[in-house]
Amino acid sequence: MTLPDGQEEEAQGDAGAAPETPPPAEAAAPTPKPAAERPARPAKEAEPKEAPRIPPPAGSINEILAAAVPGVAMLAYMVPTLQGEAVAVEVGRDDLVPVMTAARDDKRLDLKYLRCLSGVDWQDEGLEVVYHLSSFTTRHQLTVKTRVTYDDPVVPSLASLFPAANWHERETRDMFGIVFDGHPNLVPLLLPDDMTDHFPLRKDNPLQEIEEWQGENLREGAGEGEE
Amino acid sequence: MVAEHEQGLDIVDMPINMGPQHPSTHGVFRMVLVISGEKVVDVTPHIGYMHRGGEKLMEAMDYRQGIGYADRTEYLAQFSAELGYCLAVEKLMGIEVPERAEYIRIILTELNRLSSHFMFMGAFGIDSGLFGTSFTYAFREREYIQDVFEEVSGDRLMYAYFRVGGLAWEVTDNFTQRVHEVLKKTQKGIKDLDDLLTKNEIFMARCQNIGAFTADRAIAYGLSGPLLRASGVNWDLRRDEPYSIYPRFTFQIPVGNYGDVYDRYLVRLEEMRQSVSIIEQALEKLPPEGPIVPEKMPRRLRTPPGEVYAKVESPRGEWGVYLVSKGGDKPYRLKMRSPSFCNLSALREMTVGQFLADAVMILGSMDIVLCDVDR
Amino acid sequence: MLLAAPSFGISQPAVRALLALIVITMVMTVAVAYATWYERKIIARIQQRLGPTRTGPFGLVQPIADMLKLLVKEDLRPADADPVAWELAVFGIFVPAFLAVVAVPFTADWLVSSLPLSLLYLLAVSGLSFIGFLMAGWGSNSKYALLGGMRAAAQLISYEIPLILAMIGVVMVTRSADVYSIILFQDRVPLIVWQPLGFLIFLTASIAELERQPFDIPTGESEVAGGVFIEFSGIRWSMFQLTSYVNMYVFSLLGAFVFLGGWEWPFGRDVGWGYQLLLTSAKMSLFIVFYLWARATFPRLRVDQLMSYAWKVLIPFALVQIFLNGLFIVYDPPYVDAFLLVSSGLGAAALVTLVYQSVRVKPRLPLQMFSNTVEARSVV
Repeated sequence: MTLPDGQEEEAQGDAGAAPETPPPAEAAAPTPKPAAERPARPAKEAEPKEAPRIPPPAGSINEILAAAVPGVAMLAYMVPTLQGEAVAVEVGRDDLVPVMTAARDDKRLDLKYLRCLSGVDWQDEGLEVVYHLSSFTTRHQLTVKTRVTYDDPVVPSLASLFPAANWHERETRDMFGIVFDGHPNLVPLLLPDDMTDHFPLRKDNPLQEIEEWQGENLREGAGEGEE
Repeated sequence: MVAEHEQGLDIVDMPINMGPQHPSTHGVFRMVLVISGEKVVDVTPHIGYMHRGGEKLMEAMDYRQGIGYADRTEYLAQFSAELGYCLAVEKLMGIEVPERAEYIRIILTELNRLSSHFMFMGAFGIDSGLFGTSFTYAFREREYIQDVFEEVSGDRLMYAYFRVGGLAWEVTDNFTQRVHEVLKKTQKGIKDLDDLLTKNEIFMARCQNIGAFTADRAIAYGLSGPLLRASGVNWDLRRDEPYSIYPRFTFQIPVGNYGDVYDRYLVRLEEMRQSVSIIEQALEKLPPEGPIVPEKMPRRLRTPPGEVYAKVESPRGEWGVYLVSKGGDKPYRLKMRSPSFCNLSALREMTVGQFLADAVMILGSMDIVLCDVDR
Repeated sequence: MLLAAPSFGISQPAVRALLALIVITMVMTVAVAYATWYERKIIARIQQRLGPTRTGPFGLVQPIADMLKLLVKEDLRPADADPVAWELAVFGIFVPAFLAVVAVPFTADWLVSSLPLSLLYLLAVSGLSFIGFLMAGWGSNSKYALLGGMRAAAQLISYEIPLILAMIGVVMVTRSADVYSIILFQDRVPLIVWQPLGFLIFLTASIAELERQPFDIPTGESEVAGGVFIEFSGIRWSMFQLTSYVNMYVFSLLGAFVFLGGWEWPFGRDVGWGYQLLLTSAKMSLFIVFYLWARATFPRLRVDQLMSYAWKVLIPFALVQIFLNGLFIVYDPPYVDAFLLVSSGLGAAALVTLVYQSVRVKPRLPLQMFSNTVEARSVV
């Protein structure tokens, strides 16, 4: 699919935010950084694999959370949303249930709505479960993440706290093999009933050859419009 | 299965399988109901028949190819899915969409909401036992809308028309006029369906007080969209977490009181009218000319490392994209938060204790799309 | 009074009766096959489509095409089906329907046999069909069929009662249980004027006896999987369908004769059989069009709503009608006609109002509408 006429091709072939700058704070009018601010590139790829972590400003909800669960080790930073930014916290596996209980029950947070529960496979850094919470009354949004290792992929289940988590946890177990301890019915949901040892969304589960081929073609600029 | 012994006879609850192929299940969905006489004692939904490994496939597709797959996930509200996907990528890349493209996107998304709700009306009438009248009325209106979509994107169902940064190509010259015509016809269609169903005594008897779900349970189960609003929760992403240019329009959001099947039907009917109003406002304010992609649009869509959770209000609820990127032109992880998946997880609680015939009505009122449930 | 008019010069009554039976059976078969045609056309028009158009002009050959297809279909027999029940279920439904046609007087002279209790005979015979449904439901060895069969039996038995009670009201007024005499009674005024409540009850109960929308739970429900008939295919299924249409004709004719005056009103018996036949057909068609229209427009009632409607609404009102009739017959006040008219009319109005009120559950709050420009203060 060719771009409409009149579009210029970028010199370097890619634009978007330079790696050093944080994600834009406002949704309106972000400008692409001029090339001069970008540091010199070494021979191999220079793009860091991680977005920089911007700590949340004072008075954000992570402070309420830290106060509600004393002694919790929490890493807090900001992540972009379509409307601006929201707070994300990373907690350890054992602190997960107290943190989520506090998030739900504390009246200043009232984060009762579990929107989304995803798993992410970070390969060397382990498996991660990401929870997106939000509140209808206080309008807060919170992302909670927790990380486990491949050898011990057990995360406490939140199905009793948030009934919404029930099916999401089953799906995450199907796809990533993360065992949710305390889940009432952890049987395969999307995969066949007997497929309990094979976790498709893990990165060591390779893509089928055809997808690799399509991807390769596009990278070489050969095939066009493989949609 | 409960077995009782009475006068030497075993009384056993009967399991009934509403199998994967069934006219009422709106797709390939299997429900095992255990009934005791006429009341449902237990429901076990079995999904996964349409699972195609979408999220894994997305990791192999770059940000232009992924739009096609987003279509196939939400096959009745395609523009909402495309919009959610594009918004997520645009947020990460920091791209601003030009005005004209924004307006056209909104017009098409709201037309899609209309056609999706028409589909609901048609299928819901059939579920309630109407021989097919609501279906033919609804699909006549859908045809008008799909004609417009076909003129604009070239396809009747899988549009793949939005692109990261705007639209794929310019709309037809008579787009505004065509949409005006379609709106006139669909307003009549909405009225026809309203007259047929809303005050029909039998329809009301079948729908009222069935599958009532309170606001607390709805929030706990993560419901969204018309189901959440019918339960009394005043939440619509277009107003409360606005995206694109929705704050420029004035429309109303219907909220029900009882959370039952009838309220969900009424909420969707009212949403159709509000969508017509939004489209009319957008047509008035549509800039007559302008670019549809930003000027400095990169040839290769690469996102910087980061993550974003972008959510849009699809006709079914909150369709979200959780995009994790480690740089490069493909997502590292793309999770599609599917409204039908979350709504369907509440099926058991809604259906237990109701009659057998109501299970079909409740399932119909959820308006699920199986491709979205299974991805 | 046997078949006199087109008598082919045959004198023996038995042969004439046999001839009449053969004629009627053939005519009914064709009429029923073409009932499928006009049903599809009329319902299609209500649904904004055309119905069959390609098979022959206006799709007129469609019923023949359907019959041919069904005749050559493989006769599938479930392995575990009960041999007697499953095989004979079709006959259990089919035979009573055709038996009922025997007592129907199509015009003043055209009838197969004149029974002094023909109304009773008609109702009794058409009530036999529920046995066939039970046999089909049980014999199919399938859960859906069993559910459908049980519901069918419950529905048919429940709605027989208001049907018969409405007819008893008619019998009380006309002092005769013979359809022929009832028609003759209506030479001045059709019975719908004296018995509007009975008419409404008959109308509703007859739709339920026909198992059409909104009462088609046995055949359409079991979650839209065909109910009682899911294990029957080909010629057996076609016999079920045709029986449904024969029943439709029988009930339409019954309604036309008993309540609308049949071939007697308004022109009387002295016009030729052509006009009488025309009148019969026209009045019958009114009923048929009503049944088809109801089918295309109404959703399906749930089983418990259906049963409660029969037992809690229709039967009490039918008893009220009988009671009123009895009052006027025993005490014979002056202007009995006017009184009967007024009281029955009031009863009919009461029934309609009650139905109207009862299906409206307690008044509901309307939807709340919130503007998008105002940030909502409280969400829940």
